[in-house]
Amino acid sequence: MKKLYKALKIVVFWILAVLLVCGAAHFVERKDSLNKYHDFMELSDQIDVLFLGSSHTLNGINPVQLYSEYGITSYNMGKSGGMLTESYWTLMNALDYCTPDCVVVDLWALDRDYQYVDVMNGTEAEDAIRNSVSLLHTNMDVWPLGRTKIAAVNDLIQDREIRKEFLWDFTLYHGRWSSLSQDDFQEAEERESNGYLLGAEPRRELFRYPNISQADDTAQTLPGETVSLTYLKKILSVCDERGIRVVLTFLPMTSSWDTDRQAVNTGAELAEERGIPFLNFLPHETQTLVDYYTDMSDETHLNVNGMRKVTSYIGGVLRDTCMLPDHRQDADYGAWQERVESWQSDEIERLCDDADLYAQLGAIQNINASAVIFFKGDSKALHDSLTRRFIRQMTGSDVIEEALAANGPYLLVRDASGRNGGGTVNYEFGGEAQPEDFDTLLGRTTYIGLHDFGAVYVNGDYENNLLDMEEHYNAEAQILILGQQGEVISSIYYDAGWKAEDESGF
Amino acid sequence: MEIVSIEFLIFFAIVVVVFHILPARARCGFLLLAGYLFYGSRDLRYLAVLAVATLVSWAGALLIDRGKTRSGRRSVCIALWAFHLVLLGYFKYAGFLTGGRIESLLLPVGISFYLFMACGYLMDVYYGRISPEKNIVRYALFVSFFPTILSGPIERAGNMLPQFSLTFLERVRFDTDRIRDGFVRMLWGFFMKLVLADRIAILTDTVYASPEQYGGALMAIVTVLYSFRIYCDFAGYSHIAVGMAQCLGIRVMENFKNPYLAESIPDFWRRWHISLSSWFRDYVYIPLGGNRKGIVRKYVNIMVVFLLSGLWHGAGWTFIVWGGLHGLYQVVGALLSGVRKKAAAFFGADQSRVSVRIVKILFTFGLVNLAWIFFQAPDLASVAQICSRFVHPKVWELFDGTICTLGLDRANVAVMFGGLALVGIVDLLDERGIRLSEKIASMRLWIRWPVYLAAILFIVLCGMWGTGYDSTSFIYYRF
Repeated sequence: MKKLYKALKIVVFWILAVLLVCGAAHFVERKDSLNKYHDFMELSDQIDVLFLGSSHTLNGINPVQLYSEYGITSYNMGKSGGMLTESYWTLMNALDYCTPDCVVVDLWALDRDYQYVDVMNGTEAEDAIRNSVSLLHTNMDVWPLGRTKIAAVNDLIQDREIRKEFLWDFTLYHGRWSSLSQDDFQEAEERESNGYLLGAEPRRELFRYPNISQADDTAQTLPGETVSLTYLKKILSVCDERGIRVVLTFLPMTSSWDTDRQAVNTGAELAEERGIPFLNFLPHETQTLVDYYTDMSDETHLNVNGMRKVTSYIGGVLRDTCMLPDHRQDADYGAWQERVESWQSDEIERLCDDADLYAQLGAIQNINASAVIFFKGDSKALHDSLTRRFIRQMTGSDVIEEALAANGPYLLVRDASGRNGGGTVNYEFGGEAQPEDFDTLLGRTTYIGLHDFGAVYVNGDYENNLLDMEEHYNAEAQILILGQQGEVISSIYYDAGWKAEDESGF
Repeated sequence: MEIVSIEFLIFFAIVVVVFHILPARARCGFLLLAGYLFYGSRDLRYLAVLAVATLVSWAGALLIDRGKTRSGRRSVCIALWAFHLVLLGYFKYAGFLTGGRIESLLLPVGISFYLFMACGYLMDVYYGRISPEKNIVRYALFVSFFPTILSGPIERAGNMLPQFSLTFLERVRFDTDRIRDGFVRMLWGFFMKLVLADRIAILTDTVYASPEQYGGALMAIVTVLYSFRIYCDFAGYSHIAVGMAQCLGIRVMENFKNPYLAESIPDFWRRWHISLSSWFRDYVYIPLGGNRKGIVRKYVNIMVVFLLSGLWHGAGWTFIVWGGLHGLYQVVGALLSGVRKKAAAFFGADQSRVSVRIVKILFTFGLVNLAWIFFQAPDLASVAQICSRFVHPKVWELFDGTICTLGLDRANVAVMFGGLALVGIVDLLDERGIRLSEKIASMRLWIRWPVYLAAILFIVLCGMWGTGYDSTSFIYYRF
């Protein structure tokens, strides 16, 4: 009896010790992977499309927008630095949870010819390799230990010691104890750092001085079968076996190399051979979707503006070629609508807070917001080519150029309320003008535009000028964000301290 | 398989359970198998070297025992020692001794430990202190007992072989108290090694990598920290080894006994790496004549022993100077013994007074510290560079947060100093005969368990182990 008691004590002690360590492991674990895949775990049985690829995909396709526009349910599995080897294993892990109708695979790095992320080409610095391994954690940590994960780790990591940190990541993360934050003790949906949109990670920076350096057109394909190409074929085989349609992409970049051209040619050949769509945005000669000056965050990654355009385009292709259903009216898909509403609400909040003019102009277009935009006479904004570029994209007209010729002022009333069943209507005036009153979501609108004065009155209320001609008389630009009923929800003024992109015109 | 790894802990848990389940007659063979599995998991070639050394020393001891004449036995013993030293020389010192012209193909880990154990065994048989072991399995287990094979203690056949006998092993029962005590000892060892030694290593390595960037005051602090790093590293492993053996019911000799509380350099060597210093005493110093052949010969013998001890620690001049410095401390200390006594009498210093003892402890610690500068340096030029920094103290570096920029953030620096304070307290209590582990073990379960569980959690979280934080290999592996 005494022996049994002692044995029981040992067992209880070690159970407590294991529970304690497991609890600690939960808190110290890096949360990136949990954040990225939290929604996937929740919605996996309703996903129709999976996007696979690198950071180009991660920053280039917004599944929330895709649902908002087309009702297509999708998840962005893209990962920074992700090779096709990793995409294959991401797909295999994801297939344990869902069977999508379609998989979209981005072909960036099809020319890369190495298998192991901890070895790479064997010539990279230790820091680069450590970074590569660290990035893989974002894609791997969330998957529970099982046959697929073990096979993935063995296939992607050569070093046995490093493999262990993927199979039990506490061996890596226990050292995080000294940098734990509030996020580490909160549930995924409450974390401040969870900025993922169904796996996507929008970039908000603008690539200010794009160096457009594209490789020459060529008919050459990759000289041999690279490891990445082999894994692309494995993805195609797996999808083929399971009846999953595949769409290939190569997302836009401002700079490309000969190997990129060869990669897209190889991809095009393969797509033709297999009869699958290939959306090739690489060749600058034919690519018209994305404006390199407003839509990139750096040489190779789209920003939030480019993301909107590419997502919208790909959504149309998916709807038309893959015949994917629109779930927006389906009550079972309420969770997707919740994400849309949350995303839109966050975007509006950001729009109201953002102090960057380019970000403002991009965001107004991205979320299709109603706004009043006014540039005073001789405004720096008017002389700034990038600002005018944004305005032209927004309106589709050249009135802003006429305003420049007249040296201002310029007014745009953007009515995106969809009143009377219509789409977005832009009311634009360049140069000094006092047009007839016109109807907008504000009401009956009166505009007086002089070189040194501007006024917008609503419904004959000439006492209240919507433009601030007192405190912000010298503002280079005034932007009023309007709510659905025409109420002003935010007023932003850019004074002389605002730094324009292109000051050469001054 | 590293000792600081999940695999090893699982391996060890299985060994403990199976060992206690097995009948006594199978236990010896099982431990040998476990030892070979553990050692061979690093490199099978290491195992081949171990097997050769084991076979030669086992057969050699039988040959010595059968020797008819004293000179014949002596010749065999010398030849066998020469064989083992050549083996050690080739694998460990070939590059150093030939100026890099010859490099050994591999350096089997722990070779200095098991070859010294074999040499000690041969001399014990030669002097008739023990009978040669006829059972090859039992002898092989003595040489390759897995808790001690990598980093000691350097055990004696007279202590270990009887514990591997059938009669002894039959008495080893599954005693939960003994296993718990062994486990607690291991925990303390892991704390010293993973939480302290490897954490301090980050800081000291950063400073020693570019000493020209730091002032003398910070360098002095780092030198002191290095002293504790090396203590926590060596002693930590010894605690783990002793604890592991205790879990298996085997008693291994103590290797460290509060060395930084020593009041003199000879006292320090009675507390520091006891198994090695006593090995040199028994198998080098005394056979050379010890203090029996006059005062000059005694000092020469001391210098020889410490120079060899330095060389044992590493194939480099800095290690030899380190050993020589300790030899010199002892010789000068002995030479000045009369002067010191007169000075003490003149100042009326009572040797038993706490203040006098503290001064002696600090002075001894200072001398040991100075010697460690040579021990850690890659070459003598680096020592000169470090010493040159003391001319530029830059005292403000101690207060402006520089210490938190040396690879450890504020929280980790706090853990380091907190941990060192705990080690100091435990050593001071031990010096007074109070064993903290025994005190905790005697407490009620609801106090004892939370302490043990908190210790496990603390070590697991704050220990520098795993891939992300480059858990450095035990320093003793190099020897």
